[in-house]
Amino acid sequence: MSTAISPEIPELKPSVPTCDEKLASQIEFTRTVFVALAGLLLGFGLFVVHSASVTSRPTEIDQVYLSKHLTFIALGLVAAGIAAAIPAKIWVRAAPWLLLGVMILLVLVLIPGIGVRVKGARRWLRLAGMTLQPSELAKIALPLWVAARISLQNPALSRWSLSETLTGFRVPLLLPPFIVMGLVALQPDLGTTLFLFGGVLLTLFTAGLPLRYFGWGLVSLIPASLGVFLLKDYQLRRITGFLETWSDWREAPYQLKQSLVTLGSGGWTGVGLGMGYQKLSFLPEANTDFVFAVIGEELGLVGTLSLLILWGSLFYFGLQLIRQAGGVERPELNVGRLASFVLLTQLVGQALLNIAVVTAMVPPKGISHPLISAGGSNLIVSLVSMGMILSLTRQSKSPETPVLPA
Amino acid sequence: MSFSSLIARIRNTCQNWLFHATNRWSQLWPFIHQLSDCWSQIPLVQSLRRTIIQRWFPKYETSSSEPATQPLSSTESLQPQPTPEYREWLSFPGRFWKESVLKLRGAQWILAAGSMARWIWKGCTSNRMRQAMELSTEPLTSPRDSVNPAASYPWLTSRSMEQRMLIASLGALVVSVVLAGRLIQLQVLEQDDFSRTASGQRIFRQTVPARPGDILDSSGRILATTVTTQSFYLVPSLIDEPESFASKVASVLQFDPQKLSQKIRNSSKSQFLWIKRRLDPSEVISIRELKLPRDQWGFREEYRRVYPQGQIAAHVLGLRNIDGIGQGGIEESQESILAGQPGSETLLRDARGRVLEIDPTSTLPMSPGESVTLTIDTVIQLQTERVLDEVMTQWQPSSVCAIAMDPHTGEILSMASRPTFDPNQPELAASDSWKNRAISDIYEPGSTFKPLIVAYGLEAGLIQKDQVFDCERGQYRMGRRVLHDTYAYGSLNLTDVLVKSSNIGMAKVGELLGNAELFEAAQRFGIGRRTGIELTGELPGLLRPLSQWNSYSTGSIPMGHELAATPLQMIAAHAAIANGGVWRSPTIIKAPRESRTQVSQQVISSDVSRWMISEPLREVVTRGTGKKAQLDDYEVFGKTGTAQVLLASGGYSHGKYVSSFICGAPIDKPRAIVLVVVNEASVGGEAFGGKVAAPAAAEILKHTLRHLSKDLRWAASPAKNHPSR
Repeated sequence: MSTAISPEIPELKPSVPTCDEKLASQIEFTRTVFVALAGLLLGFGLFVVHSASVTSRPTEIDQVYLSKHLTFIALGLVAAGIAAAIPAKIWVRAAPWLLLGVMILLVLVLIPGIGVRVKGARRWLRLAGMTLQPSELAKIALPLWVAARISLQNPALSRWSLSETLTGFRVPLLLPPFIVMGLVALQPDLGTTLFLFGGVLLTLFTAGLPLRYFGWGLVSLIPASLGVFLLKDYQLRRITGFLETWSDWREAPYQLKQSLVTLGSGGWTGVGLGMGYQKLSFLPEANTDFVFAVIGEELGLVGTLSLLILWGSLFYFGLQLIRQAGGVERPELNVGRLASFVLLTQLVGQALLNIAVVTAMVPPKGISHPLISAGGSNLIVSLVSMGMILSLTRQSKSPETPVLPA
Repeated sequence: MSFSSLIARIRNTCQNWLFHATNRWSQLWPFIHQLSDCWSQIPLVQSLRRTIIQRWFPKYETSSSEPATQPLSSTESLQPQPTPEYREWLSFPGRFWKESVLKLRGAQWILAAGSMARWIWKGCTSNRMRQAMELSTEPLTSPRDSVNPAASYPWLTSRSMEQRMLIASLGALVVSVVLAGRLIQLQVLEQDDFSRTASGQRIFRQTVPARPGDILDSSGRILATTVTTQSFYLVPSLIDEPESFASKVASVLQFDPQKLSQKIRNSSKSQFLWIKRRLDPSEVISIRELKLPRDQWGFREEYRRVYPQGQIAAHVLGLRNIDGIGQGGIEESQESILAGQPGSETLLRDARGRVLEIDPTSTLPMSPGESVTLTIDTVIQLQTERVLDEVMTQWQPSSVCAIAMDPHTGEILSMASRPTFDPNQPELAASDSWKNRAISDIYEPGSTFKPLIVAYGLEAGLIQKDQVFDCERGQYRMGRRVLHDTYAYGSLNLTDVLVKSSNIGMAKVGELLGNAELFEAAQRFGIGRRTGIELTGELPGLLRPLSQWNSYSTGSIPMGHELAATPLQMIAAHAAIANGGVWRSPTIIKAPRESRTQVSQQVISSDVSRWMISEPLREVVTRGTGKKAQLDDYEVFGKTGTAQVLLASGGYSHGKYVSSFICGAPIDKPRAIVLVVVNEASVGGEAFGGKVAAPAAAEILKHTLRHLSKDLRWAASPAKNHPSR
């Protein structure tokens, strides 16, 4: 961006972009690319979801899924726009209330009659014809609150203290996360519980919690590993089924086996968009949790690696965004940087986790591919967290007067 | 190396690359202008483009859209200038792609790859180059890290947070690399395995059964044909409530609902279960009207063999089993012609087994079976069967069979056997009804064998036509054995020996011939070996080797004892006497000619043949044992036969007889010869062949001749219609 030149003062040299000006234009560039990458992912998902919804007999189900997906995208974009427009300060201040709201929803979902029971788990709330998954909202609210809470640590302390962390100021730091995770675990939804736990750990880690605390946590995990015996039957079967997969994929549970077959049969370039056979009936949940396998079959290694690269680029430009957001001068932005880093890592991490599930690298877990999988709360929540990242990393104002070279 | 400098390095490289890429694109702009002038004339487009350039590619903006009045020199002096080496380095890939890549052949690829690698290496290592890169965009030295390090939140400093972020990002990077490796492993290294599994679970090779050919009678009437029917199957794995499903289906098909639901339950994991195959059209309609859930059942087309004439010629035709394989009769013996060649097709199925599409490129069409035309005439066959039914009711024998044959060609005109079955309903057939007694039952021919010995003796010159035999007043001692005649005869000439069917006379003939010649006679007329008719299950009869014969045989063989023959062998032997002396193996197939297996041999001279039928055999009917075979319109020749039934334990059963009669007409040129064998007639006293079998045989002969002459009249009629020719 070039600065305006006043013709009345000809002796004034044309402006050279100053540091801050250059920084501003670079931030602009980064934000644009970040949004463009998110848009690319959304568009990619739209194609693949439509293709993966095709059924073996001619039906209109693919159209139904497409329009549903488009509706969710539209809703999500509006929500993301609002989230991006809300100033970072307000997000930080609203964090406790958001977490409280999510907790109430998580309690509501456990009450029979309000929560919808599907396949033995109460995870959904039915609101005005739409189903909502409160544990998805917890994925946003919990890291935001933890980040905000850390910024309220006693500034007089020059280092972390365990007592401060546990009992602390107003609300003990670790109490709400454990309440939320407990509520999610009651649904039961082990996968999301672990995901939330990972989010909290990442927040603490990034905020600079001394590494020795993590070491203690690891030591305490050893007795916790005995808790395997407390796992429910179906959870144990998932884990054993997963272990069998490593030795022989043919022994894998049906869905995992079909997922690997779908992915593997794509080869280098795949069979072509819309030409896959596996999605027609062999692969369950082809357009939601296992949409990545369909990408593998139809677009091949080129498609899957491109998606991986897209996520990598998104992560990179997100990091740029976070880095470029000033921190020290405006402390509230440091909170924003912390929260947006966690949100970004969660988003990319969920995508990587989904790929790991589809490729049978981790035990099977119902986890959707953010921005790609068809519809649902997750799409909206992913878009909202993108909006929040944009909001939390926004430069409030650039310096008004250009610094001219001497 | 600090986080910030790493980020700055990566960013600089990216931006350089981006700048370079836009530079390449900029060369395209004039071209796009030329292509569509109007496009760039639109002010909106112009402003949009300017905005895009300003926003995203600010470096490009200065070179094209800045006003000329802008004093550029001063700006440039301040901007860091890329070194000439750097400029050269930048331009390399463009030249490389433009000039080299498209023309590369063989080893040039290696050179090109080498220069490319060198370019990358130079870009990474050259110190002067690195300087140039760092100069080209000013490194980000934001004051925020250096200024005011002692913030009020010591644990939230940018630096500590960025270090942690770096560690976390590196973790994500490692995970991504691992996942990318896994993807390469799955999609490239193990692709074949997965592709095979994927195609194996959707591609299904299915055989298309061939339609079996028809069986026709000599004038083209259909005796056996094939129709397409629906077979009913279920998909047990999709049936939730076997009870209600079974009760609905059972009510339509008249099944036991309990058993059916049990059957469904037993195979509840499987995808396919036959319920009833080859349904009637009415059953198909009523099953459709049940409106069962569409996924759980279906029809599959199958062929059903239909015998439109019902029981007619059932033993000759045989039948096809549930899998369409011929069993018995023509269906089995001509399987290779009738069966045809099954085809196959490749189907694409979904996980539920539903067919999505058929691959037309890999379809092998089935070739239907060819039809077989028999020498059987349905009308003659029908009359034959009627006569046999009458015999069955009149004499109540255990079994009866009849054959009508054209003696000159050896073609079987009709062949029937009782008890019989309906090939359309094989499940209702009695266990003793399957046997085709005309070819699979052996009996002692008795007196019907006598003309064969006489004819052979005359041919060999061992006896004379006018020879007189002393019949010893009904009692004749041969060694330890005493022979009897039914009536006491004195001297009989050769004709009368046959007409009266004198056993003693035949024994004397036998003494004249001797065992060796008797054996030769039996062999020459085809006793003891299969005739070779194109039907399955034919027996060779029983003719002991000459070494086992003794003096007893000399008396027994000429009377048709001590040997056993099938009815077909007997009629074939008599056909040789009737047709001028040529033994022809009987045949039942008219077309295709290739599958007809016929051999012939002159066994007696035509003189002997003519004398045999015009003298002794004619007189058997006019004044001998076969009087009941006389016909009004034709002069008939024939021979009765009565023999005691052979027991399985050896020896004879008293009071049980095999009664047979062979007759033919007309005498000057016999057109048909008929054999009826009645086994164990149980009512009406002693079952002489002349009493039990002769009327039936004559009846069949009459109908046969009438039908044949009718055909002749039709054949002759066109000539009558055109007297001018």
